[in-house]
Amino acid sequence: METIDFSPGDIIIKNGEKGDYVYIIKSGNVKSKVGSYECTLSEREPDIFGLEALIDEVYTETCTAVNQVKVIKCSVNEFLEIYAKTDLGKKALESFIKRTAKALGWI
Amino acid sequence: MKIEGVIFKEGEIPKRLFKVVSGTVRETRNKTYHDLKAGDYVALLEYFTGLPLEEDIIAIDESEIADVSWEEEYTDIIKKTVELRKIIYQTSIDVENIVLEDFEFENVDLDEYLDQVEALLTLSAGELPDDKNEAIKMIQQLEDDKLITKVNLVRRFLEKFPQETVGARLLIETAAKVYIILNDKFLAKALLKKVLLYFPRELEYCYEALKALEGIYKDEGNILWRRFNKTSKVIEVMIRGNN
Repeated sequence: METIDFSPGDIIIKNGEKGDYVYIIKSGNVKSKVGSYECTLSEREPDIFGLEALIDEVYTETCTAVNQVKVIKCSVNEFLEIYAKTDLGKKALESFIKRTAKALGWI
Repeated sequence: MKIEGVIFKEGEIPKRLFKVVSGTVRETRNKTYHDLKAGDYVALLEYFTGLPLEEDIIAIDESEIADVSWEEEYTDIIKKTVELRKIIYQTSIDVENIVLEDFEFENVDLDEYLDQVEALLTLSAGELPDDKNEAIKMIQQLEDDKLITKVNLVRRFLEKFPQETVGARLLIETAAKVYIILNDKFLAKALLKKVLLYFPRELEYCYEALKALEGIYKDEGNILWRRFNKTSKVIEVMIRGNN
């Protein structure tokens, strides 16, 4: 697990690309795009993205740094062992499902 | 637990997470059905977000659902959500970057299906007259209780007069009757898809067929309705451009 920085405009994960990490936002804002739906993720929730790595799937959204962003980059095992069954893990699911529902036009 | 009927009521915020073991569970959001099958989670969105349900969630046939915990199901919940996201991409069309694949639909095996129906019912549709107008008259005069024969005659009309755009009108009208009277979704969809395959340049007919397809897919709770909705919007823009 490590903390890494991104500059405005940097693409952190890209839809269709395979990745091995889950990202937890520590500071800054990240724009997420699922289909044609866009929203901003931030450290307030805190927001997490890249859950697809946990099931060995390609990412299904593109996340781009809006400003200076700090994220915690977790490997699959680290996330599953430390965060998955905690409130943070539940928040991650909630946010992931909500973005999906918005992109589907369900809400 | 085995259940038939209401699982969660409109306005309720689900406090338990259920997984479908067998049967079909219907969710309705934004006036659109979404049918859940074995392995899907009931009211996943509302369970996690705490949003009240827009409408009742019902088991539409005898179903079995199991009470599960999100902690145990963590990666499976992600899998199901990723499946939904894949549908978003499969059913989305980027209007500014349309490619041929956007206009590809499921394979239409209508002819094979009708051959089977004909063999089973030993139906004989009879020969179509060589005169186009006589042929149209013959098809239009057939009563609604001979719909399968009508479908066969429309098929023969398309083979005999492939350049006649009235064939598109016959397909759409016959599909509507097949859907309303016989409630045969497969056959209605196949007829409508023939409009797209045989008459791709007849935009008005394609638009009409796509809207009808959207309606049928919505009725059966199949999320592929989104694809027909998006494509019809593209065609609508093309029609406006042509005018």
